[in-house]
Amino acid sequence: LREAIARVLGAREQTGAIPLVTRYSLQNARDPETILRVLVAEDNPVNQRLVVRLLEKRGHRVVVAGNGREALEALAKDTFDLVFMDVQMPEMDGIEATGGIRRQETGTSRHQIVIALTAHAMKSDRDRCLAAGMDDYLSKPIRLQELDAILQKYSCLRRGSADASEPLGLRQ
Amino acid sequence: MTEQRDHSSPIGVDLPDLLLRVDNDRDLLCELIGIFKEEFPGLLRALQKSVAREDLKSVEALSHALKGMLSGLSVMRAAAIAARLEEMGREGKTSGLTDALTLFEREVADLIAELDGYTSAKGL
Repeated sequence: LREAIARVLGAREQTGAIPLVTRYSLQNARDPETILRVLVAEDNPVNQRLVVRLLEKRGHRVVVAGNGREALEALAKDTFDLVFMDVQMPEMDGIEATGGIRRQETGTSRHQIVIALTAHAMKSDRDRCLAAGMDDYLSKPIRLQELDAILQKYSCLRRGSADASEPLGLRQ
Repeated sequence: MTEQRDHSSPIGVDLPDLLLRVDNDRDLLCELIGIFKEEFPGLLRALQKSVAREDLKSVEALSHALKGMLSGLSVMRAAAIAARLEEMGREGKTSGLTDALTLFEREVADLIAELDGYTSAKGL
């Protein structure tokens, strides 16, 4: 909102046509270093759409996988700063998929950041996610404050990196 | 003394909570409701069949899917019953399964109609 107001007020000083400020123009004007490439592995279509739209509205680039196997396939083809991984999914769950990611990283300097999306609020469930190799967790239903805190945390890591064009997982 | 306000609708949708969670984006809310309306009837029918067959693995998976969608739309009472069904499926409990399903069916009976109300300008 602050950015939108600043741009509208700034337009007063311009001569000629005043550019229209939309959410899309604001998104394009974002600092590219804060834009994350995110893989969302979530089978539930309502939650999938919700997470994707919330991330897109914040300017991030999103790819969707419907289960853990699809997430591993997406990771084999592309690189991502963050993976939001639902824990309970058909075919291959998030725990198994994260195990697969970590096995592939063995002997390399790579570390893919994996955030668990868990409907289980119990500490034991969170510990299980971390024990499986996940880096962080986000409880479902997702609260915007918690989502923004996670994005802020990992955007800061990206900003702190020497090469912002390179995904976080490749910079260890 | 603080007063606890119940923002939930007759079917247990916490609308202020829901709007907050979709970032006050009413287009997004309508889109999510549209997805829910497409998915929900099929999932409910499949759950009813699974309960009748006492296929507990399927009861667990379907209840989990329903719980996720319902909590995503802040339909908290129905989500809690779906969570109970999921737990019964996981723990292999057949006793009380039909009663829990009946309770769930009652809870969601008017759900689509109420959600439809939210997609109209009047509803929001």
